[in-house]
Amino acid sequence: MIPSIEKNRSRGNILILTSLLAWLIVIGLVVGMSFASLFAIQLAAQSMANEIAMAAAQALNDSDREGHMNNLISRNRQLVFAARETHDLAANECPSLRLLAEQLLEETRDGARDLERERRNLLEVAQKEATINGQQSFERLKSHTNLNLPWLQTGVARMTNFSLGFVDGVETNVATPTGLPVLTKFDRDRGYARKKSNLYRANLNARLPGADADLDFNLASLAAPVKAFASQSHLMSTGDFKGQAISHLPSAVKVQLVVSVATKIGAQTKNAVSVTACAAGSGAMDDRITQAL
Amino acid sequence: MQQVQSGEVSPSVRRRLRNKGSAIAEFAPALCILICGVMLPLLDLGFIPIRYAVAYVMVNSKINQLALAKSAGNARQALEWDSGWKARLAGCGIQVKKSDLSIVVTDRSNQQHRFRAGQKGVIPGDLLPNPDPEKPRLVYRLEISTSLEISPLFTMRGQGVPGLTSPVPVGITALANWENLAGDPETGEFYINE
Repeated sequence: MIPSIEKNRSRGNILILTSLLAWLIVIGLVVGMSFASLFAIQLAAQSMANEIAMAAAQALNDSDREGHMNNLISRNRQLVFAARETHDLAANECPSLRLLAEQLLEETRDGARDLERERRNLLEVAQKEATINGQQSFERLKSHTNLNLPWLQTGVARMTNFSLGFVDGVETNVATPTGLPVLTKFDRDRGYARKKSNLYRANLNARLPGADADLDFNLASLAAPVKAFASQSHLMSTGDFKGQAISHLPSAVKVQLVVSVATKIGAQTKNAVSVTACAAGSGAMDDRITQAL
Repeated sequence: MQQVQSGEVSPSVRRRLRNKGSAIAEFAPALCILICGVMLPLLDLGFIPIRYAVAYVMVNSKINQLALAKSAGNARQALEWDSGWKARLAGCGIQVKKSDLSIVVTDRSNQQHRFRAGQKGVIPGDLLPNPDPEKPRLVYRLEISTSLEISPLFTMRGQGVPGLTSPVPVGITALANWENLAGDPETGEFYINE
């Protein structure tokens, strides 16, 4: 029957056209959804990295311990400097007090060594606590990026970088002493302190002159309070993060996460989405506030 | 058998054949009309929301990045100097005509105070961060206002129909929480007010 054959042929054409169009629509939808899923995964990973960085950063200057340590080191340094001046004065002008002055000087020097040991302990504790906090947050969140769709598979996030450092351009929270003009002049001449703010420069070993040059006075970078307002933990730009040698107290964290992305449709491809987040720990509190507390 | 013996085709068969022939003949212009009159304009128009979504995501991403800057001045500088995001948007058929940054301070009564970002000392003292726990906490956000022109898939020179043959002007505003509430010890001013 000729008419029925022609009818069937026409129907076949429509079927081919429809299925082609349907495939095109399906492919378009899959590509669109893949991009949307990738974007969602990237956002989820970024949010996760931010949370991990913040959790770790909050542990760094917990209860203003780094601010206190910087203040203690600076005051101890002034004490050693003053004790040395007294010792030299007693030796030259009052020999009967020489022994007492020597004893006082030795005590302050011992105090400086103890303080340096304590600073190293604090460094270890702060690093450990920040790492544990970061790791705990990571363990809690890492599966949030796991997605298994027929056209897209994303894996569990991996933490490829966790480093501690400081914020570029942030000096210490400690100002040069006003009661010891000779020491202040020495610090300025040596370039230890900023001229305008009088704050010691970040991550500095402010060695004393003369016989006390063997003592370490390591001052770490920490945001100083301004108008009695202490800086809060906050996210920051990755460009402002500076990694540092392990000898100084850290005040910022950098976290890098990598999420694997794969598709099995057509050619098998594998790639990775990488995100980075940085966070600064809280700054030093105002001395008047810490004293009141 | 519908054919008559003389070899002529019966009227009913002829009518059907004529109909089929006309359907084939009409198919090409109909397809042209469908493609040119419906499909292409729809595709052309369909690019506007897709590009709007791209612009929205990129503007939001930009403001989130700027809100991490050290100071409001740095954020403004980064916006003005970094032409990469504008080039990326231009690559997607979106022209950035104007962009501006503001600091939005929301007080306790939910009233919003808007200041030009990056202008030193523009935020008055009572709206700056305060260490006094009895004073209300204020919310600081960075806002970007952009004027964009989103092109459809096909554009024509000169005056055209916005959305079909010429770009559509749109405005996108996005906000992100300002992160760094610390102060600059060199100037004694808050970074948000520098």
